[in-house]
Amino acid sequence: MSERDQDNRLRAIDPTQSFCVSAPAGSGKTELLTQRLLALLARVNRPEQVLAITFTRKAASEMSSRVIEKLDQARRLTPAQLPHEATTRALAQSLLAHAESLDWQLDESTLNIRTIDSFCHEITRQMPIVSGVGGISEAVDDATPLYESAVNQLLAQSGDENDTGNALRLLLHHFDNRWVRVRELLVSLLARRGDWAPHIGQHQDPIGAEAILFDSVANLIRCRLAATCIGLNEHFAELCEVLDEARETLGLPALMLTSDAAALEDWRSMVDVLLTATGEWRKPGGISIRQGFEKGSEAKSRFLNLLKAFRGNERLRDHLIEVRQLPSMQRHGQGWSLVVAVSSLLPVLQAHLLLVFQKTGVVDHTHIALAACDALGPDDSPSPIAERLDYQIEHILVDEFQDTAHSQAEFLRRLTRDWSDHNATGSAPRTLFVVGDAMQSIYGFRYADVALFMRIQKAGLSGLKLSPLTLTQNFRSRPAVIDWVNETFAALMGEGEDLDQGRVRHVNAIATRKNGTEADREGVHLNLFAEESSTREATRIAMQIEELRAARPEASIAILVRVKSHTASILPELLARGIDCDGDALQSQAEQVIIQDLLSLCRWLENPADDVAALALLRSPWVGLTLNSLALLYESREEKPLNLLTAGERDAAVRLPVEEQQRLQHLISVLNWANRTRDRLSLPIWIEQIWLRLKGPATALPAELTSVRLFLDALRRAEASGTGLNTDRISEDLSHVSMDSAASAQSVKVMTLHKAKGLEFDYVFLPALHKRPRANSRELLRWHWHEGPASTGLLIAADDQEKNAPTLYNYLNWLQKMKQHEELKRLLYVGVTRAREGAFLSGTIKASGDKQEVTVSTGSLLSLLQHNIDGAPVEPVDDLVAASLAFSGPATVGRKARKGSYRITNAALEQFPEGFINRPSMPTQSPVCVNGLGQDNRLERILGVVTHRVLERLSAHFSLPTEITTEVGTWIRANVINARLDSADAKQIEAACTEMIANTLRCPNGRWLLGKHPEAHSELKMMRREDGEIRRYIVDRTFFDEQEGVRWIIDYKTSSPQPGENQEDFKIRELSHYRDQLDTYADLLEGYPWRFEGPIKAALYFPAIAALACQQ
Amino acid sequence: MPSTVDLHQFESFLEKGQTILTPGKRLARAIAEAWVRNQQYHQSVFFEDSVQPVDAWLERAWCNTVENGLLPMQWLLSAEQQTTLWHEIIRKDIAQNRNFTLTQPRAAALRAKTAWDKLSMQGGLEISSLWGHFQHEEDCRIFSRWARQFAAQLKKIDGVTRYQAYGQLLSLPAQSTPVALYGFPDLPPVTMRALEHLCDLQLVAPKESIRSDPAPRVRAFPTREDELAAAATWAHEMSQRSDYRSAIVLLDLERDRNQLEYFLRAQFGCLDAQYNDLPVNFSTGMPLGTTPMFRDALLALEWEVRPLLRSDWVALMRSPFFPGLLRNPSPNDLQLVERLFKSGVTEISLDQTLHFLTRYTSDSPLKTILLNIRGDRSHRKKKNLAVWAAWIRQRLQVWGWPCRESLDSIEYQQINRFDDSLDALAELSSVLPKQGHEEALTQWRRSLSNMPFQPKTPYDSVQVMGPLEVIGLEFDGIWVCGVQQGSLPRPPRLNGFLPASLQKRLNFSDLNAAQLHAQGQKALEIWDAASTDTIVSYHQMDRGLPRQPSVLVTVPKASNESGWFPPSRWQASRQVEDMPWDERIPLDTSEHAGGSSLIRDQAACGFRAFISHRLKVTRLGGEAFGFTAIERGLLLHEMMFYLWRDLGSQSALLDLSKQLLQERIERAATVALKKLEDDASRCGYSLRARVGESCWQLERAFSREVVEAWMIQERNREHPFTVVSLEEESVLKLSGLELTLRPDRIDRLEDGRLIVIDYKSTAPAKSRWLGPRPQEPQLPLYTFLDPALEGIAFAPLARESQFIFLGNDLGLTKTPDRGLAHQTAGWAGDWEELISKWSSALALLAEAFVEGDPNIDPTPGACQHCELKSVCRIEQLRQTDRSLSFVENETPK
Ligand code: SF4
Repeated sequence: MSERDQDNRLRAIDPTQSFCVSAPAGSGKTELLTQRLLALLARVNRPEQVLAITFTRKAASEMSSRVIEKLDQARRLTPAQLPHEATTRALAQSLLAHAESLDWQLDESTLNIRTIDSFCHEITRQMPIVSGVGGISEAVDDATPLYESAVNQLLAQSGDENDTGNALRLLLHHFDNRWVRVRELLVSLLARRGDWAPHIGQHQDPIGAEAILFDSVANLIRCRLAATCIGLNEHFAELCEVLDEARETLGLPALMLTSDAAALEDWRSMVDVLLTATGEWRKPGGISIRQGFEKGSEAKSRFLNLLKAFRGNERLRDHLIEVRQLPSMQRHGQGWSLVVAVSSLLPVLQAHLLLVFQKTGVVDHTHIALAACDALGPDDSPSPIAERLDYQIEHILVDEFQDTAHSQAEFLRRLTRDWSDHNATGSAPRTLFVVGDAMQSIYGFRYADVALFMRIQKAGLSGLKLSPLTLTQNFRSRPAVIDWVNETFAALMGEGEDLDQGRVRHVNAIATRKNGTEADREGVHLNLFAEESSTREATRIAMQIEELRAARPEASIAILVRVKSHTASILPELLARGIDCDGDALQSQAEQVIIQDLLSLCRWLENPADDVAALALLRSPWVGLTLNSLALLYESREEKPLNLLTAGERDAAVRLPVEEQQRLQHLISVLNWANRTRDRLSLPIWIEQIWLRLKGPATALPAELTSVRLFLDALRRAEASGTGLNTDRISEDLSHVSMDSAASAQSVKVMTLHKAKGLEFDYVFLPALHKRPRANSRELLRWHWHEGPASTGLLIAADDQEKNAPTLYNYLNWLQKMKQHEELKRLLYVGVTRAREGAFLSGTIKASGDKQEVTVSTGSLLSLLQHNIDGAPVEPVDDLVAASLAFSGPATVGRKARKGSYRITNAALEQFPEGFINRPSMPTQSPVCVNGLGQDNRLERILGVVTHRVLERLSAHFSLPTEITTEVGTWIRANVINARLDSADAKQIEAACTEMIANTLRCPNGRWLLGKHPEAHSELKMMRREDGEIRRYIVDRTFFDEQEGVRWIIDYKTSSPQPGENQEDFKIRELSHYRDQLDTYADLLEGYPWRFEGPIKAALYFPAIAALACQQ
Repeated sequence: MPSTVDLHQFESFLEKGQTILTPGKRLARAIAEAWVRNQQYHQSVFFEDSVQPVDAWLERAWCNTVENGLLPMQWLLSAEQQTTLWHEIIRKDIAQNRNFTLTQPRAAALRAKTAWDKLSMQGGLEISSLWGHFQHEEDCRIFSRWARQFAAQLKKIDGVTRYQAYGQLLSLPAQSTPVALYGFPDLPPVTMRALEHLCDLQLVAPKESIRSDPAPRVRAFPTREDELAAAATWAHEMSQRSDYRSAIVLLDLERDRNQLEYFLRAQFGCLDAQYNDLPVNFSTGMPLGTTPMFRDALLALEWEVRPLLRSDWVALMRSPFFPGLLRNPSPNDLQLVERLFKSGVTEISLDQTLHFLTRYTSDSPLKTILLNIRGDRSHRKKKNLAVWAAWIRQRLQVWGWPCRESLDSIEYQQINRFDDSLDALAELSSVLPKQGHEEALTQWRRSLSNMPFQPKTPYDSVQVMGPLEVIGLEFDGIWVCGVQQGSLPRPPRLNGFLPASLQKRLNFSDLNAAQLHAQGQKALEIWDAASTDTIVSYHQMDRGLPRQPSVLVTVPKASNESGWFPPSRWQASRQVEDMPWDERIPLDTSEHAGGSSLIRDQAACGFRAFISHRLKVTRLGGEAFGFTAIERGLLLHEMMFYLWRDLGSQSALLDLSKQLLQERIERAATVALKKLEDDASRCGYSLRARVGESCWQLERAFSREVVEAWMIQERNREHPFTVVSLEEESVLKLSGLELTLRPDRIDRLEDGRLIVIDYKSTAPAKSRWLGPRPQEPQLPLYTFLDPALEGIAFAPLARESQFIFLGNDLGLTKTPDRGLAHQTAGWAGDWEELISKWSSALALLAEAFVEGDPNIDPTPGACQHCELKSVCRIEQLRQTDRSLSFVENETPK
């Protein structure tokens, strides 16, 4: 290990200092983070005081596992093999001692290692009101439907006669009234509101927004002009002088080359003299009287000298090119009015999104992040965070900081804003430890800004100084790989940095491993193919993988691509050779054939009017009708869409061949079963059962069963979320589910470069380097966070569609392209540096013209390797093609080669057990008709409850009153009030109950049954065992009447005769209605060992009419 | 098999008639039942509330006290009433305070209720004296504001919350009734104090494990699914033993319940026919509002408030509980649905459906119901929620809900909860003012979502329950799932509405890590003691992320294998045969075969042409937002038609002043828009209403602008021209195929040459006309109509566009015409060659169609927006046929 690296590593675990560590690929970052974490934990009072932040759940959980593993090893005293392990071991041991002394339970739940999302979530949970969330919110991963609702609501205001309506009409008109497009753009804006929302406050007025923007642009121009001025260095004054002279010759006024924004046009004039239209330095031959330089004049020779001095100064040339791009300050162009319109719409749009969040009860992750930031409070009134979290965060570690977005950086800033003041007091220092690698910043498309990392490296965060440390050793790759990387990327990235353009500096890596002996498999190899032919490249890769597998079966291999579609030609080749693959660049679940079939099934079940779904079902392997049969069925139909359920009854169906009829009938009987059982089984079980009845397993490949399982999981989620059988949503959900990795260690990982970050493999293939992803459409808005020495501000511009004018949008677009170009280099860096042993780069090139000039499309990864391409040998392809052909026969087009399409056999369909499909479904209860919903009898039921309770109390009273006393009145009121009625209903019930009780107290029968008797009970709870089950009963009143020698059972009923019904008829009706109930009670009481024996009599008592009805 | 308890622990109390109090209902029930079972066979037992849950007992005690007049006349708010009251207070507060808003006021209400309960469960605290502590933090300060309003509201309505009521019991004279209390888990302080105040408490300690080996068996599984599947298998195996009582305890009941149910169903064979007979008792179920019957009822009622999204509308139409169009669809019903979808609507209102029904059907139950509802105005006024409850009942009766011919036992149990749900809604009228229609439905939705529904099965051999519900019960075997870090022990949690200092001062148990740890440990011991065969398990991975076991369990050496997947019912030998080759199916009659789109589809993909033009399979119309491309195209076509019908020639155009031209364009726009609206209305919908007025007006303005700009192009054409044909229909016979063509326009130049012009709303590339399979064959087809045609042109009616054409010296643009060889990138040297190439290419395509060749041979890019992927199964073919493996977004060469 180099001494400097060693020294840096030791410094990095100093728990009293803050650091920003630049850790390039393979530099042992994870170990260093673990060491620092162990070191910090050993100094705090509670483990939660050390917060480690990652960006993915996987990273968080890996970091936790690693710490726990190190602690376990230390506990078990497993011997440490390597020097750095010894350091980790020592740190782990001192942490164990510390934990023991403080009685800590060190496990994953006490370690404060979390994703930034989950930490934000915790903050909003703790501060529900200031964060504006209100409570625990579920953040959804795909919030597009929510954004769409918000945008729809906003667009619905387009007819309003107010500022919002005007702005919307302007926007819509600008986009040719294409609502879909405008919606798309606004939706994409909402997805990125983490960047703009904090700056376009909800309460900011449009005029204020415009003024701020105007200032920001002026600041930007000033800043860039000043930088150009510095770039011109000591030549600036002379250049001004010479140019003025030339302009005088042309009769033009002198240039005012100040750094004021107003001077921009003069600067552009200056640039035009120095550079050609394509941005190259002018050649001496191009300097003439046209620019004001007379032949042989002194001015011309001075100018040529200056040009000579500038030539080769690429940095200066970049500055000058940027001057051309800088936006003009005309405020009233269409672009400006659009910016103003969009700026004024954004707060409204955000407000609509909030409404959608409120309505649906779910939010997106950005909302949580913004809410968490809000919860920490503005700088002038920060929230007492330690109070809320129940611990003071003493130390923070952030991994992969180069992938931080502005909103996240702001959150961290607020979290640590008082730390430098705290540290200045001399108390135990709080530290921030940031690890990242600017060269691996590749998440620009997810709003990460590498400039944040570079800035924090230089200037620290919220006044907290972070000592920069750079690791240079590479423990991962062979020197042959590292040398190639060093050489290539030193040339590509260079030494310079530019924060605005996202340009990072290259750091040379030092190899620690030694080269092996198999040169052809080690190092970096570039294979070029003569013309655009992805199959040749694919064959070559597949063959190489086979060779590698044969030579080193244990080696890990990955194929890394920019976008998933770049594997299209490679996968069939691997599949054909039986090479197992897994990884995120394979098809998503939604694209799997079996999933498509299941989706078609669901689509038809969702909407039987879906003709395409019906046809897809008929063509699925579960049915597999021939086109001939379909033609018979469809061509003769009169109605559209086809009614699948009755298709079998059609004349045409009868004319189908018998086997085809069988197929159709089978489908129809399954669908009929499905219809009968719809909504009776849970959704995933229902679909599974339909699939089983369709004989799905007999047509599925073993690997497809996993897809079926994941499909059912998606249905389970749909059911739980309440969306149910909504096929579009289910399909959308599945598009985020990648193929489950059921693959062995042997399988080749096929991944996107983005997903591969943080991983390493023995061999890495980077194919299709000549390809570019599909170009994105022009964004509605572009923005850029400008941070100059004197000013900071968000620049935001709307697409003015003025493609060549120096508008702010075009400038930001240009800047974005610069950033993307820089990121492209880093993407290649990430790809190649995944390799431990060897990396195989490949792509195809086209040579044209007499000189066979090679052209590579700009924007492709291959375009970065122009140096390597020039003069590189192009693979001879003939043998490859031959190999490929020999392997799988000629690639054919046409009717004879439709292998791969299959259907269930008729024999299989016949094998269904008798009646399986129509297996008797669940036993059903008797039909419930309209009246099944019953009458609204809530008040009667409450009246019954209250009356029962008062009668119970009366029966227990030491002396039965003759009328409603205050005490009885209180009982009634207390029970009525506790029945949770509104006041009008309460009054009504109280009056009715009072009357019934009064009736009862007046009635001799009532007084008799409430009076004192032996073995009397009211509301008697009874239980008994019936057929193994325990049943419970409550008997309103029972007692032994000594006079009669009878045991009475009384059931109170608060009902009364219907209008026109006489009392006797009423009693008879009620007795017959409650006969069973009374009989059961009698039986129940008979089974109890009473003291007094006697016959049992049962009766109903009606307090409303003060009548007793005895059962005979 | 019901759960049971060790009766010895309780027998002495029961025999003495002494009350036993338990922490929850389940244990109370189990003790009572165990005791009854212990009695002689078939004997009735009476039971004067001998065993009761603590809360029920204290509530009764409080009610008695109020009845006896020893406490002021008050009532106890239900949890739902409290939350609603909080919600109402918060809602008003937000409305009054413009400086803050909440995304989830309901969640805030729930948290406020918890915070209030936490304070009041301390007992003996004068809450109003605490507000001083709340002023230092914003959240606490605002909560205290709400809480004071809550207290005032309670006072106003004479209400109390549960723990307040318990606190009031402390003011009564102390009593010493002997009462036994089950000793785990710890009760809130105020509950304990109230009990101690009213009774002479005797604690029943949870049973200790009798096994010599103190730790339960720990099993580890690779994934969560593996763990749950293993537990289900175990439960099934155990159920085979006679009289074996088993329980599965889920530490994360809410999350794992459904997945476990699935595995249990699979084990017990209750996935289809015996679906309703799963012999498992779950302690919790799904919210009633999410059961299909109530879910659809809510949809039907909400449809009166606002239009339904398409997906919801379809769900209602196919619901077995409503007489919708798709329940047992007739061909007419299917067509009606198709028509509605074709109109492009994103949301479907009740009126719109009624309009379609009236227009396209005779009588149908749905129509009668909708007419009935439309004629009723009873939903208009604000009403008391109790009245709304009655209204909901009446409305659902109008719908005939649940109109399934017969209900199965689960549905029967669900419908039996209907009254409860309306009662729950009606009860809210005591805390809420009168509500409007929409709010009332929202409240009912909430009530339904707060009512868990779990079907009862006649025989339970397995109990599935949460970690606390099992406490005190006894089984022959218990399996505790999900014993992970973070679940056991529970991590400490602060309440966000209460000052942290106060929470610490009051020693909230949620905050005390040591106490939580001890509780976790104790729970583990109790589970262990509750059966002679207790298994605890955890998983190592969940959704791709590693999970750790709880620190309270000893990790076993080896993890158990998964092995549940694939389930045996999925294992079948593959019984497939190759799909027979799709033979050609020659066309019977080539008359009226179609238009130019037929050749376009045939060029893109033979299969697509076959499905679309032979089988005439229709696509369900997508949702339209604003004008669709087709509608816009039609509008512009119409405008151009009217303009040129009146103008007739370039000279007439040149004679028009700018103003007159503008007026004509304006008129053309009016007429064209009217035609569009009339067309839509013939299909049963209003386009104007669908897109909205502002979109309509913007489209008018946009189309005017575009046409006006385009007329400059027409003015500037070098060769004067006369329009000789506008949208005239012609029939072309090609390889025996009869195609009906309708060129947008044909112009005659001065020299007699004809140019055919096709309007487009975007500017396509010329290359789309060329090659053996042209993507835009209509213009090439038109050239066969008249030998005098010597030029074809797209007129892209879009901003800043100009003619795109093929032909020599047509004078359509300012840029000089280059030769045809250049224009066609070498595909044809002159017009004759071009025509001859088109002739053979298009004839071949027509021939293929006539022969009925359904070949799946898409041109690159053809599949990208094709909706037939699931029919042609192109993805499957691509896996074996490399010639099809090009990337979809590659542009064709
Ligand atoms: S998806 Fe492609 S192959 Fe299938 S029908 Fe459409 S165009 Fe043809």
